[in-house]
Amino acid sequence: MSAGAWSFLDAFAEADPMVRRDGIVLSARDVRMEAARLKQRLAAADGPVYLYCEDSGNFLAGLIAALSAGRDVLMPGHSAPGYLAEIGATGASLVTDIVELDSGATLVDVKETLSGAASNPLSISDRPVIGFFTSGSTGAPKTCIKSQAQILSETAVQLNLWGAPQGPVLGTVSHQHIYGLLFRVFWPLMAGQPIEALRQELWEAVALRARPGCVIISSPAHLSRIPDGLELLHCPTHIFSSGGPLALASAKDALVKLGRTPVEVLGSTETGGVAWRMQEREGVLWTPLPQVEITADEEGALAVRSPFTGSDDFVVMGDQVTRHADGRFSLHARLDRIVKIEGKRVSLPRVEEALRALEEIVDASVIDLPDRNGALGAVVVVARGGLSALTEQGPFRFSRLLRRALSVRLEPMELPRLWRFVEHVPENAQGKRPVSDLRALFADRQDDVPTILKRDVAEGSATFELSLEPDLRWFEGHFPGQPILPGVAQLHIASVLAEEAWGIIATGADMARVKFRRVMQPGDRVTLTLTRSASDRLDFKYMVDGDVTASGAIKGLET
Amino acid sequence: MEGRVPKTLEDRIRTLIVETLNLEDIKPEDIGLDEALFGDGLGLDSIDALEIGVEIQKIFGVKIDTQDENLSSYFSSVRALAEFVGQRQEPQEQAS
Repeated sequence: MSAGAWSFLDAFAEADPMVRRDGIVLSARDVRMEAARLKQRLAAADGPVYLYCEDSGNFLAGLIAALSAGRDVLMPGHSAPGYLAEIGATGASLVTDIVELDSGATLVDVKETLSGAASNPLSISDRPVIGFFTSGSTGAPKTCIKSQAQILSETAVQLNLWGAPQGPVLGTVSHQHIYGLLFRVFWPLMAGQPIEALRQELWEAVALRARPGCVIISSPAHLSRIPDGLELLHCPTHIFSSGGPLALASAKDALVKLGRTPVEVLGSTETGGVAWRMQEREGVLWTPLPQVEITADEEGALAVRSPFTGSDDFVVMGDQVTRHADGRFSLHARLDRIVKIEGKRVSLPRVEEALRALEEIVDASVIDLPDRNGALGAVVVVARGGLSALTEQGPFRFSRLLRRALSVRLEPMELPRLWRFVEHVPENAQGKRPVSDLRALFADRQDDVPTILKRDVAEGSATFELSLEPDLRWFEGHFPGQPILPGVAQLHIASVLAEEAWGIIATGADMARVKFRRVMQPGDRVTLTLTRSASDRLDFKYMVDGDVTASGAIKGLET
Repeated sequence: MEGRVPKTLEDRIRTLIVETLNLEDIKPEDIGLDEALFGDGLGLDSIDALEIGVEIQKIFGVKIDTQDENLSSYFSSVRALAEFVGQRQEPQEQAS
């Protein structure tokens, strides 16, 4: 490792202009001027700098500033206030371009500088490291530390493999995670090209910016949702996908709609890039990246040794593989996705695959539920054609219909026992499906929460359609002869569903500004909307037939 | 967890099915009296049948003879199951 002679600044020296922010082009000097300004402030303190920016140009200036000030850089995965507080990203050590995030934060803003003195020389030693946050198995964030040399050596390998980008490198993913950082920021810079400052989350926005030679850095979450009729004037030379398995159907869809089969990159924050493939048909094998050695342990788990892992030994990943003589391999279920039910091994991906093969089903995720004697739970998105059957037969009989259809392929203990019908399977920003979120959908409900007819949970808000059945506990004796849903029940239901949706605990919290406008009675079909307007606050709104019946907020929540 | 006291034998059996099998998204009164419990109706399966059988024997004190050729017809619906349980229980209740 000769990293001392090869810092970020040297590696990116050719990139000038350095940043394109839609109409604006920023030079290397613009970025360095802002980095030099920030470095003055950051050098006055120590400890890690928490760097979170929406704009990749601002991010780059913040990164150069922090490293040249000799400080380690930690990269929060997102900007929810509760999360930033949890990982300690507060005050002046938080460098951001979001003004409202923290009044004490250090703001970064790269602007065009038309005149001014020659920029201050900056230098970066190889000592400061870069840390990423990953979600551990418990769901609590943990850090994964990388040296600059590790990241640069992987960037060099990717650049060598794919060549230099020939046009704008557009991204639907954030640079705050290692994959986005490497492909959206470091790869173009090392090739001497400017980066695109803005992440484009909408395909229409990506299409608008497609130029000859462009590249799209995306994920399964985005590639599985390309709108029909998208008009792309210029086909990308490459589409990349990482963060989770890309369905063959999504790969084919991308070829039809974007004109290119995506390159899937297998990797993890811990190991960096491991292998790649282009899924043009079923069963395409994975090819290890250059400098990556692959082996399998006794259980068949993939183990990796490369300059990108930061370890001299093999690092075991959770995926089960079969290696072929030519060095390529096929990937099977993650080993933690094989569970024991009644003493037999059940592969959750196999059950999911069987579910997705049913014509009533678009998407499915299956997990085991330790709280329910290890029974299997299925979280299912029903196809348009299956919705009438779901409505007519109700969720229980419909789920049994699906079980019968599955029993043609699966053994009895592989059949899901508990079912949740949703509009989307819960996914985080990286397109992963956190087990904790899936399990929360099956949290034990008592007879004090109405039947949920429909649910749609997103990061900041959730909507539930509820059916107020006459036997709901709250209607008993309240009031005799004219039962209504009491205010305490409305608060209770809102907090139970918020806990299910996001794991926030509302017991003992204060309520504020509750307005009851109309009574809710047995037989009503009610829409409940929950909004997380701040980390410790939950807004709720009940509606019947489009009229607001009650609204308010619960404050002082624990997250 | 004691619910409300069920009235008829049919109601008790419907409640028993839902509680024994921990069925979600369905209430006892949603099960039709003549609805097929297995196959195309409610959609219970053979493992469910075993569990219901064990519970019926425990709660109502009736014996289920697995060699009985008519066994599947006793289990065909809530009404059939209630008739079966009612018939088997009678001698006992008269004796006591």
